[in-house]
Amino acid sequence: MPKHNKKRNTAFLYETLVREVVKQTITKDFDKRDKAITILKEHFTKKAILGKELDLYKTLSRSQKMNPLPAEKLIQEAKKEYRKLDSKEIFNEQSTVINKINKTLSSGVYSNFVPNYKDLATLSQIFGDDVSAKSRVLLEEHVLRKLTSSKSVLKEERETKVSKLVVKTFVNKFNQQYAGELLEEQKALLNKYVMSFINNGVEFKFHLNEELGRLREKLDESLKIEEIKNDKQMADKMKMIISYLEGAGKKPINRESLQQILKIQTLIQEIFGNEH
Amino acid sequence: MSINITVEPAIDAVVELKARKSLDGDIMIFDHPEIDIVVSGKKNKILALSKEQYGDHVYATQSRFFEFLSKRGVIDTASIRGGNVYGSLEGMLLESVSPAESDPVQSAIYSIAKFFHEEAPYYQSVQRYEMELEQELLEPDDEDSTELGEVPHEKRKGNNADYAGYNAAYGLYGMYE
Repeated sequence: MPKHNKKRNTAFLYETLVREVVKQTITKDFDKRDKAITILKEHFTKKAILGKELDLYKTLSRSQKMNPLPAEKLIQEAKKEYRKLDSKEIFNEQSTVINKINKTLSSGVYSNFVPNYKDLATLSQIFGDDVSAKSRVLLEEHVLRKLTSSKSVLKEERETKVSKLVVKTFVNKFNQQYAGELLEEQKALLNKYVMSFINNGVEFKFHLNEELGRLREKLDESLKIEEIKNDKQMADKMKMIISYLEGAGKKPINRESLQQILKIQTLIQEIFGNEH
Repeated sequence: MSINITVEPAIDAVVELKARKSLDGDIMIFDHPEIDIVVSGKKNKILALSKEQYGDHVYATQSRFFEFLSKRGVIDTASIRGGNVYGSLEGMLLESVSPAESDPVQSAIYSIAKFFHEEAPYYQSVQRYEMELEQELLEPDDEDSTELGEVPHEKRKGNNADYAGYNAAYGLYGMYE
C-alpha cells in the first residue's frame, strides 16, 4: 500500500487549519488566527475545488447508522463525483494552500492533532488511484462499517484502541525501572492501575477492593502481635493506618492514595515477612 | 412392544451480555448504564461499581440490584455491604447445594441479565427523552423556528435597560428608552 501523504489530503488540511484557528484563539495570537481563517475562506468555500472535494469527504466521514445498501451506494456515488473533479486543479490548489501555510503560519500546523486522521487517510486512499484494487475493496469495507455503525460503537472502538507498541514499550520501561524493587502485590496493583484505561478500570477497582480488604485484615491481625500490642506508639500508628484505609473507601482513588496503599503493602510485608 | 423414550436434558438458558472475562476468571459485565458488575467465582462474590457518576441515584441502583439478587436467592442478604473502594457495594454468592446442577456463578449471571431486562424500559425512556430534547433543540419544528439569516438583529437585545447610554451623560438616564 503506498504511503499516505497528509499534506495532499484536503480534508486533513481543512481540519488541521480549523484546529490552528482554535489554538491561536486560545493563545491569543490573533494575527496567525486571522491568517488561518483567510486561507480557509479563500480555498474551502463551496464553490472552490477544495471545498467541493471536502464536501465528498464530509459525506463519507460524517454519515452514520445507515443501512448497508444505501451506504454502499453512497460510497460509489461519492467516488463517481470525485472522479468528475479536476485532479490537476486540486493538486495546484493544495500546493497553494501548503505554500501559504508554510509561509504565513508554520509547518507545525501539520502536527496539530486531528482525531479522525485515520478515517481521512482511508478516504483519501479510496478516492485516489494509487491503491491496488484489493486494498481499495478492504478500505471500502472499512468505510462501509463506519457508515453502518452507531455513534456509541464508534466511540467505544476509539476509546479502547491503544496501540500494542505503546503497551509493549510501556511494559518494558516499567519492568526495567522497577524489576526487583517492588513486591509481587505492588506489581500486581500497579499493573492493574496502569491498565485501568481498559474496561472503565473495573478490573483495577475489583483488585483494589480485594487488596484493601486484605490489608485491613492484616493490619487488624498486626494489632495482636505482642511487639506492637505492648508498644502504645506503634499500636496508635497502626490504628491511624487502619482508619486511613477505612477512609480510602470514601473517596475516589487518586495517585496520592495509591502511593499510600503501596507503602502500606510494604509495611505489611515488613511485619509479616515473606508470608505472601 | 416396548417404547423407549429418551428425555433430553433441558436447554440451558442463554443470555447476551456485554461482558469480559479477566485472566483470573472474574466476569465483568458492562451493560448497565450506571453500574459495572464483577462476578468473581474465585472470591465467591459480586461487586457493583459505579460507572462514571457517584451519587444517591447510583447507590439506589446498586441497592435495587442486590435486592433483586437477594430475592432470587443468588446472594446472601446478610453479606451485602459497602465495598472497600468508593461507590461500590458487594455481596457474597450463596453456595449451591448441588453444584453439578446449578452453578452459583451461572445462576448469578442469569439473574443479572434478568435484572437488566427489568430495568431496561426505564433507561430506554430516559434515553428517548434525552434524544427528543436534543432533537427539539437542534431541529425545531416550524412553529419554534425562524429561518436563519433572515431575522434582522434588534438594535438592543433583551429588556434590560440598566446600562449607561449617551443620555446618562445629561442626567436623562431612562428618559428616552
